[in-house]
Amino acid sequence: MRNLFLLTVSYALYLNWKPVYALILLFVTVMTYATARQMERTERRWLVVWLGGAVSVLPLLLFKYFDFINETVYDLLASVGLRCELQGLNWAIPIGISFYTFQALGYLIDVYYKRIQAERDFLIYALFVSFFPSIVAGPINKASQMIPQLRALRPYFDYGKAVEGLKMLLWGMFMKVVVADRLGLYVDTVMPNYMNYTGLTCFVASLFYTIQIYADFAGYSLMAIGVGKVLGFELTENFRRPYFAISVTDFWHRWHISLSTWLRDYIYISLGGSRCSKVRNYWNIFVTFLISGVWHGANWTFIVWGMMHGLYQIIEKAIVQQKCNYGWLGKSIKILITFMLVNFAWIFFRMPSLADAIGILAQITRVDSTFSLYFDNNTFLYAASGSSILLMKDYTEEFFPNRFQILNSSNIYVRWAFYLLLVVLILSSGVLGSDQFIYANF
Amino acid sequence: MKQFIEKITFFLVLVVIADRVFGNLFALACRSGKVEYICNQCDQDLLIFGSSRAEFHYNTRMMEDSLGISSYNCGASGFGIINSYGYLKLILERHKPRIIIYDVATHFDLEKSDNFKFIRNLKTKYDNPSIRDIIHKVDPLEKWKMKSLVYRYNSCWLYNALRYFFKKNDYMLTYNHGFKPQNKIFKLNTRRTEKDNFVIDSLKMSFLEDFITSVYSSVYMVAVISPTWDGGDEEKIAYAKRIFNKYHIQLLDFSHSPKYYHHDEYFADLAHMNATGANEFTRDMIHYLRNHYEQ
Repeated sequence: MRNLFLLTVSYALYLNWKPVYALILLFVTVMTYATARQMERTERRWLVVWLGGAVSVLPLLLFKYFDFINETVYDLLASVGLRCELQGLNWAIPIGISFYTFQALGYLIDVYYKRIQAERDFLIYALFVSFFPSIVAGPINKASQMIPQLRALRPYFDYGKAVEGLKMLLWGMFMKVVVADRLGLYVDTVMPNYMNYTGLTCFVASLFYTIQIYADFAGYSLMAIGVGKVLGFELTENFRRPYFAISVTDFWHRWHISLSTWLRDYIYISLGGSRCSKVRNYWNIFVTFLISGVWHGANWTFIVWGMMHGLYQIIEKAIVQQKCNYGWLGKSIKILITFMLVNFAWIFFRMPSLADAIGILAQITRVDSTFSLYFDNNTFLYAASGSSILLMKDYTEEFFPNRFQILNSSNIYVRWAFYLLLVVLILSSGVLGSDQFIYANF
Repeated sequence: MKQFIEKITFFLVLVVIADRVFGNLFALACRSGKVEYICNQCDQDLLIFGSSRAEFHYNTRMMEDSLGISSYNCGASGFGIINSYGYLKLILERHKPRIIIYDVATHFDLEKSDNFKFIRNLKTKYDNPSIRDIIHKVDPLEKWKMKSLVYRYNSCWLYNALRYFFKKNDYMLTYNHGFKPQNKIFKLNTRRTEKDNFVIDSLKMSFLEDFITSVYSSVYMVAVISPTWDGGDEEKIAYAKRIFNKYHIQLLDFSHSPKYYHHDEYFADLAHMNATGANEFTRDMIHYLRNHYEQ
């Protein structure tokens, strides 16, 4: 009954966005469920998984990539004098389609490799795919982790999990509305009109975007995990203080962990992983992150962004710099270098075209640009205060994990005072008119 | 479960108390600055309303000295018709000016955009029925958010509190009568971003008409499109003209005036004049008012 209730709520919330797209969700659910069941009944498992997987991925390809492929092919043909324009679809992308499609595909592949058995209960499987806290923007849950929880007889209420869940919800909300949305006001003013601002302003906007996308995505993930916890479920951890990474390789162990785990398990390892020649290993890394770029969006900017991260990691591997064997100074320098490399790549992620990405980089590096900064009192004040609290919390958790606990302090007065402070900050400093998470576009 | 509900209830009670305490603290701390002056004290006879273009373009000290009419520049960055109308309503409750100049910026006064930002400073005046109506029209959900006293100071408490505690002497309030001269000289290394679509915001239209009808029978009103370096969008200006013509209000269009068009020396950037340009433009406005305003 509880699972049925959760499934009803999940679909009701999904219908609230755009009713007809719930049919796409249902299609992917039914297709992958049937494919997994069929795999257990046939010898030709490989054929069934390929066919079922291909059909399940079709909605994602159609809605997200058709127009991009269409335009790219048209531009290519036009450049050699051949023109064969196909009508674009211009369909809006069903919300969360990248997330739930990958989640369902991961399940199929796990069944194929016999890591798990095909789920017989359609209700449980449908709930796994459509689970409302994580359907919009992840985390991408593993069937082996999630389905046993759905099947298990859970207590109606777990006090400890509920409290932890509410803390995550509160902190996630703070990250999203106080930090991310505030920084977004500056970024959205400068970056679309970068030509009208100095190089310093564009550089500051790029730094703000780097923090914005982290606070936005990690904040939302935390809220999703928090809601899951209140309901009694443990969802996959998705972020672990990524801007304290000592290398880009380390960054991907901390950023969007559920996606990087998915890519590692189903793409990287399938290609051979690191159990092959060096060159082949570099190729595997490159392809994995190329796919990561493609997953993020139907635009060359995302593909370039993915390739950049692939190249970063190949170079790191070649010069053996994935880990850190230096003292605190060396570690600090590595953290800073990694941050700047990631910041540079985010520019491509943010801008609407390669030309604009190159344009803003040119603006940042212009020699004759003045050092004046577009300074908006309000934005800077609120952004600085919110970001400082976020930085302080991440810093203490990274370097002093068992000390300086605030949200998890053993002193009830400290904990509750911080909860109240967060609520007051959300009400007084949060951008409460915003209604869109960055990653919800995926 | 029972323990959880009790703790949650207790926490919510603490939240309400904290909201009241901090809300009242913010109210005390936010009693300074230009917006507070406009809402509570402004009683000059010539008032300028508009965005940063109003704030930077009209030298109200010069106007006061030349016309002999007390003048104040109520323009500020990011202001549009929605908040200007709110401030006008607050002023009219205690004072009737003789002349109003509205500096039209089509992006803030006509075009569809995020209207939420325009009610930011109005929220602190939510107890006033006129302001309440304006906020509810922009977003009916604000009715619920406004139950929180802290929320009314959202996005304005920190800057105002710092100003209050550091007792920043805002010379604009007294010496410069709200005018904020810009001292930069324009350098052409940028271009304006082209916007493809011009979509009228019906809500802004209704507020513009409310603004006009609040004063046009008893106050001398002039609408102005002050100079820009590269001229304004003629389609948008024509639309603005139609609205003001409906109420027989003159819309003075300086956007393509040869005196200012592409004259670098008068501008700080593409959209804003510098002090030299503002003084020159103010002289033009003084000349116009001398010839057209009968006291």
